[in-house]
Amino acid sequence: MDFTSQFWVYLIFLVTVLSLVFVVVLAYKNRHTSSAANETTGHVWDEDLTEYDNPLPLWWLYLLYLTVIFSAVYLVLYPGILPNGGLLKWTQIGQYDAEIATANETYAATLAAYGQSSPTELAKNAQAMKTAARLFSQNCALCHGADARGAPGIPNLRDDDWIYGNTEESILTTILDGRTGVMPGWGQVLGGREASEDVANYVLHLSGEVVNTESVNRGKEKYKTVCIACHGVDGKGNQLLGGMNLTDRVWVHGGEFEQIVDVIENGVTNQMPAHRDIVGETKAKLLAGYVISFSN
Amino acid sequence: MTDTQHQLYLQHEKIYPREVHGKFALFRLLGVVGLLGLYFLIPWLDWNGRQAVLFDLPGRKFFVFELVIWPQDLYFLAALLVILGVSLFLFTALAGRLWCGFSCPQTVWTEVFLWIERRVEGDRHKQMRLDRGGISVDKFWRKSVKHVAWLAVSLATAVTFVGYFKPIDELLLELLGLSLHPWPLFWVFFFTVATYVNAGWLREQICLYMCPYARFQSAMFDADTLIISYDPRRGEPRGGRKRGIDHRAEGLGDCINCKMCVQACPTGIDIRDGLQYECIGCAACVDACDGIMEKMNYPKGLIRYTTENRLNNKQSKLVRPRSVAYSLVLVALIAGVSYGILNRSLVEVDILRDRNVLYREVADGIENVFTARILNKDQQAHEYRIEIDGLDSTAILIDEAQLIVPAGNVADATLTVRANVETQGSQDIVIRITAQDNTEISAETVAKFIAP
Repeated sequence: MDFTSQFWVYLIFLVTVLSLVFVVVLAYKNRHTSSAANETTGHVWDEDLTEYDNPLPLWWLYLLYLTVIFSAVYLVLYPGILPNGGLLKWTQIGQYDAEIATANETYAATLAAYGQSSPTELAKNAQAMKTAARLFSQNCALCHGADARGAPGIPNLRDDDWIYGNTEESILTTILDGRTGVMPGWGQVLGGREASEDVANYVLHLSGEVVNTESVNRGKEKYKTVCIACHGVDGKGNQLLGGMNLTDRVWVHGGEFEQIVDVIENGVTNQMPAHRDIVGETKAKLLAGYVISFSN
Repeated sequence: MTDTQHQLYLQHEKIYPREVHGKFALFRLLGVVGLLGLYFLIPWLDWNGRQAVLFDLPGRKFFVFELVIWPQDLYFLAALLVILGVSLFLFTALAGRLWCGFSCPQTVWTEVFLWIERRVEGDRHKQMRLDRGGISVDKFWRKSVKHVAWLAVSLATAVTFVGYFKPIDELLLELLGLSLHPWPLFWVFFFTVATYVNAGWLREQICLYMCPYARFQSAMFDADTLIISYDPRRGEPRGGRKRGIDHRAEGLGDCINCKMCVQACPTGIDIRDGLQYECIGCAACVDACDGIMEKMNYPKGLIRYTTENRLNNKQSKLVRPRSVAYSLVLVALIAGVSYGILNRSLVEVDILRDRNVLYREVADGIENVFTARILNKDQQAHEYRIEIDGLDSTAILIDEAQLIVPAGNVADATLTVRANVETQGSQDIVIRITAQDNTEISAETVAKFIAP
């Protein structure tokens, strides 16, 4: 019990025990009544309605004793009145752990079989994908959406754009160890707001948008000085570094001019949390297979 | 204990009802055999390769022949309960405690236990003598046989009862193979003990101390309700007499005060004291008294089914506001529930909005994501199509190309609803699913589409 003082523990113990004893004593002492059989309670309603004071069956009293015994046993076996929990050592977390252990045992064989296959093989296994869909909705859908099409700042898993590549290994690494995507803020380096806008126009131009040609040319020069390191000469990105492809019209952080300028100026840090401890290797394989199955 | 002190609690005294024969005893025997027959037989019936009546609690489905009741349809069961309640009201208003005397499980099982008791221990007097007497070999084996027989009936009752909730052939095999899961085993044990204690030991005390119906049934009674009553005008003054004398001339009524009616009563009352709440309307006293009247060459019916009005030499009416009102309510309820069951939708759809974002702006529109949970309540698989009303230009992307839901199954389909870029604010849309092979099977739900 999480009381700051043991005083309360003992008070509750005392009050509970005394109440139980009181109930028994009260019932026992009042086995007899002063009113005779077939006597009325003395209450009169509606001028002539009276009520018999008839005796209860004796087993009714025994039922009361039984409930008292039951509650005493229950309070001692389960966390009730003893200072250190019940004699059975039952706890909520203990029951939870036991149920998880049972579930793990139940699914161990199925999962072990899945563990032998590669994600690509699993992607073709309809039964495995059913399991994977459940795992996805439990672990991934909260950010990536029930339809896996992402959200602002969170990548769409159903398109053909792969930030870190679409090999089994890279998808597994993403799920198990997570990814930290860092786009530094380049506002100062590029030389202010206007320079960032030029670069943004160049980026839009890479995606085939029709924008101010002069600004694009200025932006291109700036692009070559900094952006090229991660996003590449042609703007197609670098999957080893997680540099995003700027030419495919897929915008994780928004494709509006203002949004692009903001990312260039202030940067953005994105985090895919590691799931090794949460799902483990086998379930990660299933999930990787699920993501691969989108492309089939 | 002084003179002014009395026990607040009553030591129970066992009632030994005398066995009676007659019209109503036969009627009850037929009732007992018929009802127990149904009870023990129904779990063994098959329907389309499954148990015909099965309340599958872990599977959340109740099977009643062709009807499959899902948790979503549970109001049908509630309505059924209301129908049973109202029919109880109607029968009570017309014929009193017909339920208690002839069809209540308490009465039915007690009757079986009494029959066993009489076969093993003999009639009322032999039973009383046996109980008063000390321990003897005869008493020991008679009591043993009785309790073993009672427990056997209780066990059969319990297994059958649990068999309504777990397939009974499976249950029996596992029980005999000692491989039954602890929970069904517990319930078999529980209902064995409950039946044994109820029908063997508690008997009329359930009716007297526990049954709520016994206490409120009087609210449905009126002066035209059939009750079992002693006719004091004919019977009084009661008293013993020699056979063949003209008792009228002696100033005596028809009641010879033989107390057969009291001995026959399973709740231990004297019906000659008038209508009492303890009377379960079993008519055992009617049979007992008629037998005596026959022997005395008096007309039958000193104790009989009658009404308060007829006892007072007035006319009794079957059609009266109370009976008409109960009948109308009952007919309306039955009609409503039948209509509901016959026209219930064999598919149901729940729409869950995705939790991560309100909407998503993509190159060619605004997207909302929903999960459609499709419940196929039909007993065959269907492929469904999904349509959306309420947006000017929409497209639905369904990632799982197939929407085939097996019979009696639930499937989730993720819907990405895409509206054109100009859509603004939030608006209601109707998501409708229809079986491809039968457009009658259709369901729709209103959902909110949210745009910037």
